Amino acid sequence: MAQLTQASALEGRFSPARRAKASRFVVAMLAPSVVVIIFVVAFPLIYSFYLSFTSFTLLRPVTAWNDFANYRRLLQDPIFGQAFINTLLFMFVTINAAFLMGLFLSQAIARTIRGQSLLRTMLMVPMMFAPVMIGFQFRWFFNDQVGLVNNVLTSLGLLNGSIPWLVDRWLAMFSIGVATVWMNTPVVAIILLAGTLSISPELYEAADVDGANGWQKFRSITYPLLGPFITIALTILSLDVARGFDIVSIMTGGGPAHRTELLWTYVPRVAIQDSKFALGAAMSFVTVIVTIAFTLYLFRQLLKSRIL
Amino acid sequence: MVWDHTSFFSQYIPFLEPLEKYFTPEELKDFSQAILKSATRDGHLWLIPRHADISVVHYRTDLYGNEQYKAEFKAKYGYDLAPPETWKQFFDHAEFFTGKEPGLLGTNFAGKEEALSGRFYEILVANGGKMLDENFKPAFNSEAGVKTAQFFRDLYERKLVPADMTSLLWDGVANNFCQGNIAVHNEWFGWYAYFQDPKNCKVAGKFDLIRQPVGEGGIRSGWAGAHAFSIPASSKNKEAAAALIKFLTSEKIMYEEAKLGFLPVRDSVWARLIADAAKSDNPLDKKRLEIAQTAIANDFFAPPLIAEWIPLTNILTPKLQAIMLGDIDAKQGLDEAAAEVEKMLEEAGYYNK
Repeated sequence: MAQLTQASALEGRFSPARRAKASRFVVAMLAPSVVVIIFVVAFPLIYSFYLSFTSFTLLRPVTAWNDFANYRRLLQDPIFGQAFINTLLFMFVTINAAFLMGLFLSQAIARTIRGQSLLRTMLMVPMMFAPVMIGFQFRWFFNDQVGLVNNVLTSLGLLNGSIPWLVDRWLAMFSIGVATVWMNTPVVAIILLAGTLSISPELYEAADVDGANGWQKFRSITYPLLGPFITIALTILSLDVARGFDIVSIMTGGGPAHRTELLWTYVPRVAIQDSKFALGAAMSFVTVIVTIAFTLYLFRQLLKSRIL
Repeated sequence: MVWDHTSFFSQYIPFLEPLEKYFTPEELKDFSQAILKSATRDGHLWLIPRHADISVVHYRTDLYGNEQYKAEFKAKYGYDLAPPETWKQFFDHAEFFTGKEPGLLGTNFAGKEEALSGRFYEILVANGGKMLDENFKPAFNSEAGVKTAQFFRDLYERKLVPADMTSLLWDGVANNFCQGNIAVHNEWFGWYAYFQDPKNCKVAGKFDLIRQPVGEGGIRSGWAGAHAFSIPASSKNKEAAAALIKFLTSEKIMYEEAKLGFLPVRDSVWARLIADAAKSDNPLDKKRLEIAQTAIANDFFAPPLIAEWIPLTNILTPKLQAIMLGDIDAKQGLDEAAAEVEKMLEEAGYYNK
């Protein structure tokens, strides 16, 4: 009897009428966020894609259709090409460097017995600064007249004269890279540290019994078990580096003479300062497509190496 | 009512209300006529200026007055060391003073963004060149243009300016002068109070001003700009907007603002300010205002009144930087920039009228 009542109650709960009511409730609850997403994400995305096929500029806001003219033009633009290659190179180097340093720091801190919490707090310091401030700070570090780096090198007797860090093509890219890595390493280190600390100590004890050395334990236990954490860290890191507009704008602004031009400095200059909205939109879409392809490739490689 | 600027108002013209119907010639008579000319386009007045600024050469009196330097200079260059009257002299001075004292460089110019194109532009005009011709075709790759670009390249190549000049903007170059690292320097009047404050600046009390040097074209050009007010075409109560502008640019308000450091744009305010400054202990306070008034009346010129001025500088500046850094020859760099500017203006519809 009791079972029967329960069954009919269940039936009642999932009756078509109730189900329809429940789904109406779900739709009603989701609707506001869907509307917001349509207005804030979907509509601008589709509209800017449409704009990228027009001659729209901020000074002459006329949306005359001009086929692939913007796309043809950006392919012929040597500065766009250079900015594109610079960006790929910059991301490749800084993401790898920040990842390796974060991994190293996480392992070092995980093995620290005294003062671990102090080290963890210190690690957070770069995350407390606004990227704009980091840009200003490093611009001053690398200033050729009054900068910290040249002063230290001169006091140590390693340098006679001054190095124009933010003028030479490779030195300038290096300086921006240092600032970017400094800013982004802690996130990686903290995520990987959390991962490392979550690994059961029993695994290491068993490995000790088998006579494994430190590297073998890292290679066979820590690294594979960190897999999901590495994925999260790399995803956040890639996004953070790809949002690094502030640092490069403040430190060099893409100059001098386009030497440190990245897509983040070039696209806003074309779209906003030069008012060429349509061309800027086309550049953004090419960038997004290439970024997606790059991400897919990255994750496929990660899967292959069984990290994921 | 909106805040506007002589360098940038051209891009807002479609959205602005012509002002001549709200201001009588009588009301405008007291304003600097050179600035009003730069605020007029297509036969309409679009701005009422509030305050202005113009380039002026700052030089270090402790260096220029040093007897030993004077003798050395005369022996090396064959003429007396005196504040630069020509850009050629300016270059000689920069060359002479570089390295004379530890850390001392000849000069520096803001070396990026619109600033570099603007500095190039004023010396280009002084050398008899033009940015655009009367049909809006680029004309800066002329002989005068190449000479001007070469001037910047020579300064950089001979290390008479900071190596990171290409990343310096107004604050950076002013700071270098303030710290006593620069002998002679093209600057805005607006920094005066900062430079004269001994708490901030090592050069306080040790510098003087001279009107812009003459170029090879025999012209004394002062790149200039005026902050100003406009009325948007969409304004619902244009009469009230005009009344507010009249109040904010009135003699009384302008005088009060000018006492805080702004350069005024009304003749009556100039007269009162100069009379006040005559009572100051520092004779430069008065001299500065007199030079500014003369320069604004005679040398004032704004960038070309085109909406594409900033996009133009976004093409020209990187090429000038490349010329300075030795990436490209002066003539070739300017030719390439001119071709790009022409293409941009063509697409904007300047040539099919």
